[in-house]
Amino acid sequence: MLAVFRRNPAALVLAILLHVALGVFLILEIEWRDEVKPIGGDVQVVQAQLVDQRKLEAEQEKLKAEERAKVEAAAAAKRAEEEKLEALKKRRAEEKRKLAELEEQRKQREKEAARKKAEEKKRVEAEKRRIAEQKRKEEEKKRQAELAAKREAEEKKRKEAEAARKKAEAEAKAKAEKERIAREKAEAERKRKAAAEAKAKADREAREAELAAQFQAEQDASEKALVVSRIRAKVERNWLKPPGTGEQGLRCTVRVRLGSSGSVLLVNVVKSSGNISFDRSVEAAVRKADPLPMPTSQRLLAQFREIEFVFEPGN
Amino acid sequence: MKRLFILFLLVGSMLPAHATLTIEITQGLEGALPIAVVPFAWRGDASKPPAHEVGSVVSADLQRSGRFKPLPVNEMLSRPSRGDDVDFRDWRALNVENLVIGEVSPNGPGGYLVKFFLYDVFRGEQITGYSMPTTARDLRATAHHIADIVYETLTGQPGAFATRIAYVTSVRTGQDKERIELRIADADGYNPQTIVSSDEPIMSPAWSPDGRKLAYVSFENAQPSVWVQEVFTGNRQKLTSFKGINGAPAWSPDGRYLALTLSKDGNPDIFVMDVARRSLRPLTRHWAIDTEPAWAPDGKSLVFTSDRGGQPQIYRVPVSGGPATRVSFEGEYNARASFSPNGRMLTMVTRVGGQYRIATLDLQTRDFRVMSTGRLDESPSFAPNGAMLIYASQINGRGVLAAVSTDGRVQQRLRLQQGDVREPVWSPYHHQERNR
Repeated sequence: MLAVFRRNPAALVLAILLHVALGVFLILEIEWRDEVKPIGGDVQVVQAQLVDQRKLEAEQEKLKAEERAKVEAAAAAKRAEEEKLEALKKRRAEEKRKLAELEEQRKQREKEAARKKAEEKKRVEAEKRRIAEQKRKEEEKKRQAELAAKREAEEKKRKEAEAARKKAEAEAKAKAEKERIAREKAEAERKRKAAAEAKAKADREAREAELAAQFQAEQDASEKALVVSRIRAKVERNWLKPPGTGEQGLRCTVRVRLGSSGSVLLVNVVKSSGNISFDRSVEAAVRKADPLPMPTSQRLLAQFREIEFVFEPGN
Repeated sequence: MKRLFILFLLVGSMLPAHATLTIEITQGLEGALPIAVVPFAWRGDASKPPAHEVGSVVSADLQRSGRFKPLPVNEMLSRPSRGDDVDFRDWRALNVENLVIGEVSPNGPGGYLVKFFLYDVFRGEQITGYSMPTTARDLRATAHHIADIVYETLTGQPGAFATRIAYVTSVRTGQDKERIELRIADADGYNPQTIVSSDEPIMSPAWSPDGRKLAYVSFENAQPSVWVQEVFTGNRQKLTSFKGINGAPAWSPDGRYLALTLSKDGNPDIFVMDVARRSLRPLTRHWAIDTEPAWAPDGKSLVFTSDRGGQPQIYRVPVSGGPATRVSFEGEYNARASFSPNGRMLTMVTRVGGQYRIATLDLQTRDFRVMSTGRLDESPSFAPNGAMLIYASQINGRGVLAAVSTDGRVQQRLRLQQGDVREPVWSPYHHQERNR
């Protein structure tokens, strides 16, 4: 196919053109039937100011194209038509472009308005921001002030707290000291009381011991007296004085050793009366009284293990 | 400090534990010592026992002294005669403080061997014991000797059981006739022996201090004379035969002098005769009657009876003579005084409410005690140990011998003999010892 085209370039171009034309007709079918007069209808519109380079270039391009078309129209019979169609199409495109331009302009205006609005808004916003900034600054300032105040207050508070703390500390210290003193005092008091109590207790115990000893001594003394009187009674009951010796002022002392049950173990005349029968009666009295009454108290028992009897007839 | 004080208190209260407890005994019965004299066992032929039971003689002697109270034989729980047989519990149960046991064994022809033992019942041990050979004739004397040993061992004073007494008896022999005898006997009245016999009165026997001689007054030949007679030989000599009264001889303690009453100068006074030289010196010269002299044991003074105060009373005069001082003040009548062997007491006859009784006067305390209860008691004399008095008493118109312990506790009549007994006088110790 490609080789066909190369042998017939003209046919190829013609074929391509035909196809393109057919495509355009197809696209512009309705327009073609009802010719519409463009609203501003002048090409100068096209030469209207270009907004930008790009547009200008597009315009130039368009112009180039149109020139080329005119050239071409001259070249081709049907090309006029086509050009016409092209023109129409161009008008329509122009119109459409104009519409688009209008739209563009509207859009531009709207855009501008929007821009302005946006600017305004931006300004307002800036203003707002400024105000806000100011406000913020003020607030910052205020905040700073407040902060400062707060800080100051805090400082003050801190100082106060410090002072309070110190005071509290001092007070606590003082209190602690006071408490310590009080405690020491209390301790001293406690110790004093304890000592006093200990002393009182010791005194009491000593007194109790004394009383107990006294009681015991009294008890012992009373038992001793009782036993002595029993011994005396028993010995006297057994004493048979020799006749006539009652009035001679005789006196005999015997030392008697006793067993724990009162049994008479030993009788020694330690001081004779000088009268044998009197002395013998004394020894016999003790021996006949065997066993002698003894104390039940072990403490006393020892005292009764050895007794001296003094025999002296009385009235 | 207080504790220290308490300590001292405690120590102080403990001190008596170291000091000996002393108990004063002041009250006791006063009484004779309970003793048991078990009848002595006879170890010989049961069909020929000794004539006298030794134990009963000892027991009677001890009882008569007033110092002992022998347990009646029938109250004895056992009758041991040897140490091994003694069970002290038997005697303790009877509260008998001392025990005498013994036995008599044949010892050759007519001889005996007497053993005796004295025990302390409550001490539970023997105190003493002897083995004594003797004869049938001296068996009682041996018993008295045992009594003396027991007495001296238990009282510390010599016994006077183995001594003798002299006394005068009168036995009516017919119408208006009396036989007067001077006798001596054992102190318990046994074994009387007549040493002088007379139809006339015999009076006032007096033992020489050595106990070998008796002085007495005899009215033989109707004239009172003072005689001195040796007891064992019977030899005698007339000392004085002055006109009037020759009476009441009394030996000085050394035996060299006799004091006596003489009325050769008209009024009865006391004279002292040197026995060897027969020389006389007057001791009293008083218009009143002075008689019945007696020597103090120290020989330095004499007492006598005098009515120079209006009634008979006892006076004392130094042996060298000089003024006499009145000794007896109690009672309206005091006579016939004699000294106790220790010189502290006098015994005399006193009249109490018309009754003549025996009294003692403590020369230190002036304690005057009537010792007898008779109506006509007379002629008291002390035993040589001073523990007893012997005197004559009238019972149913008849004179009997009586004895009383010096404390007045025991009075008894001696076992006697027919006839009227008067003027007993107790011998000194020496008599018996010389007799052995």
